[in-house]
Amino acid sequence: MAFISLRQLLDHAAEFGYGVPAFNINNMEQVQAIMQAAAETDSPAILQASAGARGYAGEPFLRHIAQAAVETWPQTPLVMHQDHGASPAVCQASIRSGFTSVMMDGSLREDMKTPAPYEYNVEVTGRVADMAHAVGVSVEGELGCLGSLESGQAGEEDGVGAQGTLSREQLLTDPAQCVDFVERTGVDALAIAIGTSHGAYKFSRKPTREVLAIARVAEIHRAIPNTHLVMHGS
Amino acid sequence: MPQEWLALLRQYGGEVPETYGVPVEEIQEGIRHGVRKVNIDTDIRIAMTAAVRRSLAGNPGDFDPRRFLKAATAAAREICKARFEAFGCAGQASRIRPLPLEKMAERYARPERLLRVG
Repeated sequence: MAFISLRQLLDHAAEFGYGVPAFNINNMEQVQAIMQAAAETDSPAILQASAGARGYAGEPFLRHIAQAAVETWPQTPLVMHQDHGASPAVCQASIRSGFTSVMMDGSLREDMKTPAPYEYNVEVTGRVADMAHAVGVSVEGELGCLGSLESGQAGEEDGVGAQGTLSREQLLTDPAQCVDFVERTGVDALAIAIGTSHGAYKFSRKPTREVLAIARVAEIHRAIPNTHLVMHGS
Repeated sequence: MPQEWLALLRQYGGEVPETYGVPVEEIQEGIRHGVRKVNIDTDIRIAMTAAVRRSLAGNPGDFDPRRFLKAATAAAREICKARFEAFGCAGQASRIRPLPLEKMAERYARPERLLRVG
C-alpha cells in the first residue's frame, strides 16, 4: 500500500527540483490511464477529486477506484487529494473517507462563487490545517482568485470559481499577504493566482507576460520559500 | 493545451473555438521557482473526447463501448506520460520511501522535526 501525503511528495519534489502533475479523476478509465503512465515512467502520482467528480461518480466509487489503483500499482506512491473544498465540513468528510490531502479553498465563500474576505480565508483554512495535520493529512490553501488577466473575467468550472469581473489585484496573489497567510494557517501548499483560469477557454492567443504573470511565481517563492506552490488552471 | 488533440477534436465534429493553455515552458519556469503541484484537467478532457469521437467515427458498425473507452484511456495516458516527463517527475517514484500518515502527524506535533522543503 503506497498512499502517501501530499506534503511528503512535495518535499521530495522540492529537494530534487521537480514538479508533480495532479490529475482530476472521475472514472475508472482516467485512473487507469494516469496509473499506467505513472508506472511506465516511474513517477509518483496525485489523483484529485473535485466536487464535480463527487457529484458524478459519488464519493464511495472514487474512494474504491483509488483503492484499486494502489492495489494494482503498489510500487507507485499515490496521493489522494480533494480539490477545492468549499468548507471545513467538506474537508473533514474527505479526511474520514481516506484522502491523504485536502484543499480548503477559502478564497471563495461556501457557494464557491463569491470572493471571500481575507480574514475568512485565514480562519477556515487554519481550522482545516489543525484538523488535518492531527491525522497527518496535508492541506492546500488558495490565495487570490483564478481568472483571466486578458478579460478580467473570473474562471469557473464544475461549479467552482468566482463570477463576474475582478480587478487585477484580485486576480494576482500578493507576496506580502502570502507570508501572513502561511504563518497564520500552517498550510503545506498554496495555490496562487497568476492569470490562469479553470476550463477550456484560458487564453485567446498564446499567452504573453501581460496575461500570464509567471514572474509573480518567483516573487512569491522568495517570500514563502518553505511552502509548496500550486498552479491551477494550467 | 494539446493543440494536436484540439485539431483532432475539430476534425471529428467537435466545436471548440481557438484557445490556448499555459505553455509547458512557462510551467517549467514556474517549477524552477517553487511550483511543485500542477493541476491538469482540461488537457485530459480534450484528448479523451477527441479519441472517442475518432473511434466512433472510424468504427460505425461497432457497438461495444470498450472500444471507444480503450481509445479514450490510451489518449489520456499519452497526455499523462508527457506531463510526468516534462515536469521532471519521471524516475522519481522509486526514490521515495512512503511514510505512513501517523508519522506525518508526529512531525506536525513536533514542528522542529518538520519540515524541510528541499
